[in-house]
Amino acid sequence: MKTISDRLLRQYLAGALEPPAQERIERALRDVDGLRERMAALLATSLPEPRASWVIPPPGAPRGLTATAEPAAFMGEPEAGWTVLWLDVDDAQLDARPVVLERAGADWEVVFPLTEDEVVPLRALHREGGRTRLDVDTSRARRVAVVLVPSDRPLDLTLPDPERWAAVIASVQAGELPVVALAVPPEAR
Amino acid sequence: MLDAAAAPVPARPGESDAVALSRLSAIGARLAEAREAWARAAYPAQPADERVAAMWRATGRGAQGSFAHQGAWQQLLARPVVAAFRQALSTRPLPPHVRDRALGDLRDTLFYQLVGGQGFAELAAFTLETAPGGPVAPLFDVLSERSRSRAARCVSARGHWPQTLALALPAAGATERALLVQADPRDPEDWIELHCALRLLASWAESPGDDDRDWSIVTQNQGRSRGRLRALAASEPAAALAERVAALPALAERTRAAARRWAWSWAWEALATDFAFDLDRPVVRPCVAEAGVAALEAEELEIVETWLLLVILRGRGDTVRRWAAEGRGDSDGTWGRLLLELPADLREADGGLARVRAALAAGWDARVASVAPVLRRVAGLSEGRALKRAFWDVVGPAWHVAVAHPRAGFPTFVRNARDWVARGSETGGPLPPGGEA
Repeated sequence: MKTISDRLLRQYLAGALEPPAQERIERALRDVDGLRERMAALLATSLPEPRASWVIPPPGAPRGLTATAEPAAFMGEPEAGWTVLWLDVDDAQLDARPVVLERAGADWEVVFPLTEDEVVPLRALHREGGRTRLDVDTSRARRVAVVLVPSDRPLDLTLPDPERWAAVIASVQAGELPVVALAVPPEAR
Repeated sequence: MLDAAAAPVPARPGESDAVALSRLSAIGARLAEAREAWARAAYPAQPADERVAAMWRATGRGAQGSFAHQGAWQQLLARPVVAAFRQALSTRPLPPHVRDRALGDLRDTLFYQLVGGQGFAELAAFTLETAPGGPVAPLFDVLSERSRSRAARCVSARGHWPQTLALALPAAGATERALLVQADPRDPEDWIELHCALRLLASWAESPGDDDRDWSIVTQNQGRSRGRLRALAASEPAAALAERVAALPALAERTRAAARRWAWSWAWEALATDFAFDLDRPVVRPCVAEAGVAALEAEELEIVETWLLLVILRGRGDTVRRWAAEGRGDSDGTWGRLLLELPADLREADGGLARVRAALAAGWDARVASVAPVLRRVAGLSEGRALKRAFWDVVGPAWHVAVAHPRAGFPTFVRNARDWVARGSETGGPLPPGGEA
């Protein structure tokens, strides 16, 4: 048997081989000198499992909420680092509380609300032509997301991490809450 | 079914017909062993099986049915799918922010790839392969008459299949052969094995190869044929697929095993497209019966990368770049011999290399980045008596057996690798002035 490729070994580590190839590698692990050590070295250089909690639909696949993003402007000039999100929400949704997230590595990070004081219903925000406006600091972000938490769902920011967002995360993953992700316009970064 | 071929077995140079027959027989035994391995694969029953069967049945009711189990699908599949991506991404020297973005996007996209694109149908096909009698028969059983007709048209017109059919089903033209093969009662897996054997014989006429290369040719052809069959199965109505899958025992483990294999293919697609995660792009490639350049499978890309490595080591990196972009190579024997190093199965039926060129042109940066770490290590080798061994220590794990091992020229390889690295060519960026051959 000639050299077994690293790619095949990684496919084995992923559990992605078909049964004949899997049996072949298992035999080789018993019979071929040095193969276990190679496998161990590959395992040691494997990417770590990402610590991610939120699962947000990709841009273009909103769930129950649509929105647009545009660069913020001041006196007609683009205001670097800020994005205006226009949420298409109807009157029945105005009691919901918006939660804004930005992409941070492999996960999402809540950037609003961060304190109990910041938990506000949509009706407290500026509204124009049937759309609600959110101004978001996007100086670090390439992608943002908005989740609407209805008033009958708990949103308790006094809880410690990770319980604070656990219920919202589970509801989003189950597809129970309106959510939309948007790419930050390049001019707003 | 091999008897049907009944053609004289072309011995490799230096081998008798008897030796060649014996090698063919060994391949047959290995194929039988592979079928047994599929039959031996264990999928332990789990408490979640009934729930997973209900989730599969719901996919038959369309997106609404699937969304009702969104969280459960995410819980069932996120871990195996992310694990497959982690390993696939670990083969490439990607910057940490790119890897993080890719893995994050993957988690976000997973369910939408399943529900929005062809995902659930593709996953169903991979899951059906684990059924008793698999991998081929359960996929074939789910095909409608229309799909069987499409399969017959594909094998009567695409790639090297017409040659296989011509041997077993003498008939005048593609249409007649398509009708005959559709009515043929033989096991489709037997057809695939006959095709693999004939491709192997064809390869012996071109180069001697060895046992590993023989098996690689067989598994490539088998994999490609099964991939096309999977794509056909995935085109069946969602309800029909869902019912078939939901009837399988031990469904939680079967679904996870299938998800890992599906995700492995998806990961290589994602790597080739810079993690665009296009929901409309199928992971399983259908047979395109019409004219056109079909994309390469993941393993075929691996072969092309090995060949690219060989070409650069032979000092023709600039030539291959030009050839990929413009179709112009060098008009000398070295370049001609390098083209002949590409396995016959990457060629079109007319001997052309349109698929290879298209794959290199479309993904030049990715292909070059893939071979760059090996080239850098080769560039760092010391010339001397131990060079050949050191070379294979570095290159061996990345070398696909479908490309013949070079036997000489190792000091030149090191010099060419140094030149390639020194010019920054591994970045895929523009060549320095005078760099074009």
